[in-house]
Parts: sequence; structure tokens; C-alpha cells
Amino acid sequence: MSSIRSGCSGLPHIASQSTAFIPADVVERVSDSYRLFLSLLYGEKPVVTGTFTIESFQVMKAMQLVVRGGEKELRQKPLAIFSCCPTSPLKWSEITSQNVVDCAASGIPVEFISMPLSGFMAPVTLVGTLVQHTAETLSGIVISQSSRPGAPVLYGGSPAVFDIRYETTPMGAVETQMIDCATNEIGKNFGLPTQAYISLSDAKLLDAQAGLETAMGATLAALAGINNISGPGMLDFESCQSLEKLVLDNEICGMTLRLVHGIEPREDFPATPIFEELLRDGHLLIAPHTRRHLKEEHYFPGPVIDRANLSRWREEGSLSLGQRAQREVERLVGAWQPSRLAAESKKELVALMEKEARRWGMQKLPLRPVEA
Amino acid sequence: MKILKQIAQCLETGDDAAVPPLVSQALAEGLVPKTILDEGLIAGMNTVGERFRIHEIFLPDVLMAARAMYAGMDILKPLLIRSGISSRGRVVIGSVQGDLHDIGKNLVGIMLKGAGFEVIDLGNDVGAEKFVAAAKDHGALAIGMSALLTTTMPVMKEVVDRLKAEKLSDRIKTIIGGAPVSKGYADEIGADAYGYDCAQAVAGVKKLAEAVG
Repeated sequence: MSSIRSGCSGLPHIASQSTAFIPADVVERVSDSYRLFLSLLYGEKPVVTGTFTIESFQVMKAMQLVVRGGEKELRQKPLAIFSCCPTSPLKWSEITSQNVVDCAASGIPVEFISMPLSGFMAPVTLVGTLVQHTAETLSGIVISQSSRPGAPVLYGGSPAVFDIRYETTPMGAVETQMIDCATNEIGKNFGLPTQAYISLSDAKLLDAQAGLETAMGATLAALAGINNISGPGMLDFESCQSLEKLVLDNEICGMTLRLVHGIEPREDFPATPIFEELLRDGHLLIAPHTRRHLKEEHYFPGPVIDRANLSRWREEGSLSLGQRAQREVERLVGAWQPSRLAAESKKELVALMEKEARRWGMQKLPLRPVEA
Repeated sequence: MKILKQIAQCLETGDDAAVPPLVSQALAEGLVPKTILDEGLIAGMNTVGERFRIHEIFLPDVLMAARAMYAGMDILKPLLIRSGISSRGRVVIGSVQGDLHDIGKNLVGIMLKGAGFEVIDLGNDVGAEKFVAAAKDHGALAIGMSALLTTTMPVMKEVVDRLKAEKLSDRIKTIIGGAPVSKGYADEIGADAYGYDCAQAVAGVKKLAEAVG
């Protein structure tokens, strides 16, 4: 888990980190708080997380208060988004409902993750699935807003079509991605920020399928304008986190972020002087116009994306994408720097976590391989 | 027998309306309920199951077949009970404690019934004690457990351990499944079988039924 934290820290196009895993080396009752603890101790990015029980909420809030400095500060600048999932069709469990209420009271943003499955636990038509998703998400918003009007929410979800051949929920299916883009439009229509599980893959390896499904999802999500995207790093539906894929997906995110910046005129008119310069010098490589705009016009992906000519590629070891990604992961993990959180705050986080673990019968936390 | 083939074919086409009259006709022709069940309904389901396994047909086709089978069973069941013939065996199923995900488990239930087993579905959020008590009460041959969350998987081990402690593991077998569950995990906790999808779950239960005898 700490590798993911360090990997994630070095990826500029991944804006927040998901707690992603369920730790197996702590007692079950702290498996939710412990993963948030590690994220806050080792990383600096905002976190997407959630609680598994009603009781965990308090300590998970307390940890955020340590990092932000107080109730008011946390409210002004939230640190973590809590995922809260209705159960399809149209049910809210006691745990999740209470989480929504608790988050609303503390100003912690909630993303609602409704998961209708087209043709299985939701109507087979995409419109029918959207009707169910809308009803489930709006009911969550009602719970939140009736606890505290104006409480921060994201209109999110993880809908999918159901593949009747394999009994699976393909996240890379084009229909799944279409539903995601449509829920985004509905959420935007309500004036809310949006979220979706998109730009991830059903492939089991970092192969061509992984690349195509992720890139297609990311492109659609970017063009649709989905605000918060959960997906990078994931393989095997939503079951696997791969560091190598996370490194590749960082590049996909970099490219799609460039895409949404679009094409803008920058000192391009009148055009004659630039062409005169080109004719005079034979190239524009060091022209002032080039130097001013190169970095903002062209996105340069990292070494995972191969743009060498064939001879150079051969000379550098004929590395596959998987091998290049693996090297990049090693580099990032090696280059990891402890977070800039004050040592005093780190101590407080550790004390909070130790107390919570003892409360559930665990006297000692697992050894942490690197000092935070 | 031509009529048994017709019944089997109705299952393959999912024609649930046609099954009851054919079953009644078979009875009128003097066939015994057990033959109609084995060589009509279950034979049809077996073909459907095999075609599903090799991806010739899909899940909805299997569910249609199961529905057609139930239509026939409604007539046969009282007759089978009267003549003292039991089902292929009883299976207790449920999603384990802490897990509210039950759609996979529900599918397994439908498929098991389609294969001729009696299914006692305990629903979701089922604890180890309840699983074992239900299996004992119903004289079940197996307990089928499902989990979607890694946090809830330990309940599966509790059930296996409890059966061992109560010296029931020869009579009551365990089979597990669900997204985070694997063959490796089944071996690790000493579960008797694992199914990666509902067809595999049924195949697993069939094997367990043979083993229990």
C-alpha cells in the first residue's frame, strides 16, 4: 500500500489518491481507518475513501482534523471524499445512511456511488438504467441535504452493463461509459459536481485491451466534463490496482487533460512574421514564439510512452510497455520523499490510529517499512 | 420416449407454458414421476447447462430454462414426495455476514434449483452459526457461501472450522464463491469446493453430492 502512496505522489496528472485496498494486516474493524491513516501519513494528495462501519467515522474525521488543523479549516478545504453506495435497486443500508448523515454534519464531501447493472439489477435499456441511477442518487442527496442543507456532494456512480455471457460487469464496455457520460449530464443539470468510475479496464494484464478501454474511457470522460474520475490504476473490473498501470494511466490523464485545454490562438496572427522567420532560418526550433509556447502547446509524456525511432528503441533494449512501466514504478518508489506534514501532526496521526486499534483489540500496529 | 425429449426441448427453448401439459400427458401415458424428472426435466437442464458452459447460450436462456423446469416441478413435486423420492439433495446458501451483496448468490440459487437440488436461501448478512444450524436442521449436503468484500471472507473460514469442530465436515460440505474469492483461498481455509461463476458452482455442488453419497 505504501508503494501505491509513493507511486501516486510522483504522478502529476493524478490529482487525488484512492485508499483503494483493504488491509489484511490489521483487525477488520480498523481496516477502513488504517488505510486512510496510511494515505495521510505518507501522501499529500487529497483522498477518496469511505468507512465500512458507523463507528469508524469519528476517528477518520479526527485524522483529517489533525492534517487540516481544525473543524473550520476542514470545512473550508475538505481533505477526503467519502464514497457512499446505495444498494440496487433503491435501497440504503443503515451504515451507509448514517455515513451520509455524519459526513453532511461535518462538511465532508460525499460521492454517491449508485451501481445499477443494465439488464440484471436495472432495466436493460440505457435510459432505463439512467432512470434507476437518478432515483438512487437523488435519494442519497435527500438524505444528505435533509441532514444539513448545502452539505457538499458529488453526483457520482459506478453503473455498468451486465455481460450475460460471463456474469460480469464490464467497466470497459462502451455502453458503461455512455451511461457514465449521461449521468454526468444529469448531475450537471442539477448543478452538481460529478464523479464516475471510468477509464479503467476489465483486462487482467497491462495489455492492449487495458490501454484501449482506459484511454477510451478517459477521453470520453474528459470530453463529457466529468469532474472526479475514479479509475486510473485499475484492472480486472474494479478488483485490481496495478502500479504499472497507474504509471501508464498518468500519461493517459496527461493527454486527456491536454485535450480538454483545446486549441487556442496564441500570438498566431498576423502569421506572416513567423513564416518570414521560418524562411530566413530554415526552421523554427529556437524561434522566440516556439520557446514561449512549446510547453503549453505540446504535452510530453514520460518514458512509458514510446516515441523513439526504431533504431533507438532497439538500442535502448527493445523494451515493452510493461517493462518501461515497471522501470518507471521503480524510479518513482525510489524517489519518494516523506510528506511535508509537520512531524507533530504525524505523531498525532499515529497516536489516533494506535488508540483506535487498541479499541478493537489490536495492541500494536503493523511495522511500517519506511519512516513517514 | 418421445414425450421426454419434448419436455427436455421445452426447457432448451424456455417454453414454460408448454411444460405442464406435457408433464401431465407423460403421467397419463404411465410414466413414473422419477423418470419424467430425470429423463425429461433434468436431462433438458443438463443440455442447457452444457451449452451455457461453452458459450452457445447465455444466462437469460438458462433462467428461462429454469423457469420452465419449475413449471414442471410444480406438478411432479407432490407426487415425488408421496412416493418417497427425495430431491438430489438440499443446499443451504447465503451471502456471508457483513455482506449485503446477494445478486451472485441469487443466481447460484436459481441454477441449483434448475439442477434438481432443493435450495434453502438464508439471504444476506448470514453468520457462521446460522449457516451451520440451518444445514443441520434441513439435513443439507452442502453450504454455499458468497462474498463480494474481502473483509467478509473470514466468515467462510468460521463455517468450515465450525463444521470441523462439530465433526460434521464429512456430512456437510462447503462451497464458496464471489469476486474476491479464489481456488487458493478455498484451499487455504479448507473449503471443499470453489466456483468462479454460477455454472461452476452447480458443477461443484454436483461433485460434492456424489462425494457425500
